[in-house]
Amino acid sequence: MVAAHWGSEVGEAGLAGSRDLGFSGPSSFDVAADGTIAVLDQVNARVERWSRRRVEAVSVDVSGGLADFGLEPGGPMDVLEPPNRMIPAPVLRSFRGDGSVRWTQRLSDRTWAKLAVGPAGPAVQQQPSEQWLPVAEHGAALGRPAQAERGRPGRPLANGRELVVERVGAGELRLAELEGDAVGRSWRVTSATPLGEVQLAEPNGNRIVVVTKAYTDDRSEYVALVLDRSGIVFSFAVESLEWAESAPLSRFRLSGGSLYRLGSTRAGLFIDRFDVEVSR
Amino acid sequence: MKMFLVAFCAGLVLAGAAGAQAYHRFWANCNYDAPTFMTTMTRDAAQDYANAARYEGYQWGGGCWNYDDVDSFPYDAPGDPSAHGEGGDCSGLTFKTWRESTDEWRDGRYYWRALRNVHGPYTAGDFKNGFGAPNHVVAKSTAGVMDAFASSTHIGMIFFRSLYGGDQIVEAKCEACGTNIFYRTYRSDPSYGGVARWGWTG
Repeated sequence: MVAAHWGSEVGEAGLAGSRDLGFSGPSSFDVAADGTIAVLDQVNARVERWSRRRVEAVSVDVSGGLADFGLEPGGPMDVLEPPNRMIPAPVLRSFRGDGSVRWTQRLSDRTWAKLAVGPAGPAVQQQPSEQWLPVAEHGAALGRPAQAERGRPGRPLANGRELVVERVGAGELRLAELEGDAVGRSWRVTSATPLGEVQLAEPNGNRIVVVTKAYTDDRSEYVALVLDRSGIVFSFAVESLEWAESAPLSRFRLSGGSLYRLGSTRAGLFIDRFDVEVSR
Repeated sequence: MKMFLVAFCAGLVLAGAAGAQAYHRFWANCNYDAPTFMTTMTRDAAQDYANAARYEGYQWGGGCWNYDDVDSFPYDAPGDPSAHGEGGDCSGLTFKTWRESTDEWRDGRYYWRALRNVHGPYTAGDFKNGFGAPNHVVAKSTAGVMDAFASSTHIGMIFFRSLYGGDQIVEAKCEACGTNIFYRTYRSDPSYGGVARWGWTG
């Protein structure tokens, strides 16, 4: 879907670092409902949007650290930034579609794992609480106490439910869809090969799409699973091509029945698309 | 006139030396005291030690910081050991947290105070390969609290494992990042290996 050489021109992707210190590239991306792919190019302090006909860049005032990124319906963009040498706590920065600042809000907890745009606004999986905390509701930022009061164990979904993810031991993954405080559906996935992080767990119709990583000490690959009430509908493996570092859980996005993957090689950045709509 | 020129040039040299001294001023606060030999070394004490180093900055090749929660020299040139700014680098923070000796053959426990300026003999790549008597390689899937993941360019210690399968890592990652706790996925990254310290007592 997207292929961009390293660089700073429009249509290229920023690369920072060195052979001694390691390299980092664009740290996250998201896909709009109309199929536009937006990439957070924090190295060049901009968001680049690829649509069918063209690519455009919008400047955003970000620190340059490895940040997560999400698009809200209607155009606002959220950038979840890590602490840095001058700002010791993580912050969520919200921008309008033209790159101007809406608001900046410090997170309740000290560390974040993942940003997701929920039905009421952006929510962040935070530590040490290990909860999903909303950082804004209906366009207005929430202060730290308000975030903490609203924390939930699962990621909020558009249908009012929430999805709880728990990696257990070396090779077990548990997922549960909650309706209120009751478990509606749940899955337990086990693997003989150790499982790493869960990059993505999202509903797609009445199914759940999960992307996790299977690894040994010197190899790894992503595994995409499509789950329904009966178990795994189908699965496929995706080679992990990550020459440059990005934000930890920002490699995959699900949009319009397709799974998108952010990867990188020595030559540049790419985004692939996989169709996950299949009938049994 | 010749005497004036000589004096003028000497003045320039001295002014340059004063500038260099200013550039190195954080290390002027550091000391070279002997470490304290310890009989114990617990993982929660190691968490405390590394946690206290948060916010204190990053210095390539460094290993000296205070506890004021501020990076005193946040804009040192990345990768320049002569900047002599505040903070450890990734391997320096690990070396001090793991209470290691500057002698690679010693596997005892040596407590280094924060302002003791010591980096230790190991690079991230050395840790990754388990070099040194106190260090060894472990399977990544079994790495636990205050074990570490190391690549050829970086090492970070596991502060906690997290629900989504990644880890909270305490690390000195880069000049702009400082020292802090970040969520990372080093465990499943093939460029990283699992490493640990022998000799935990709890």
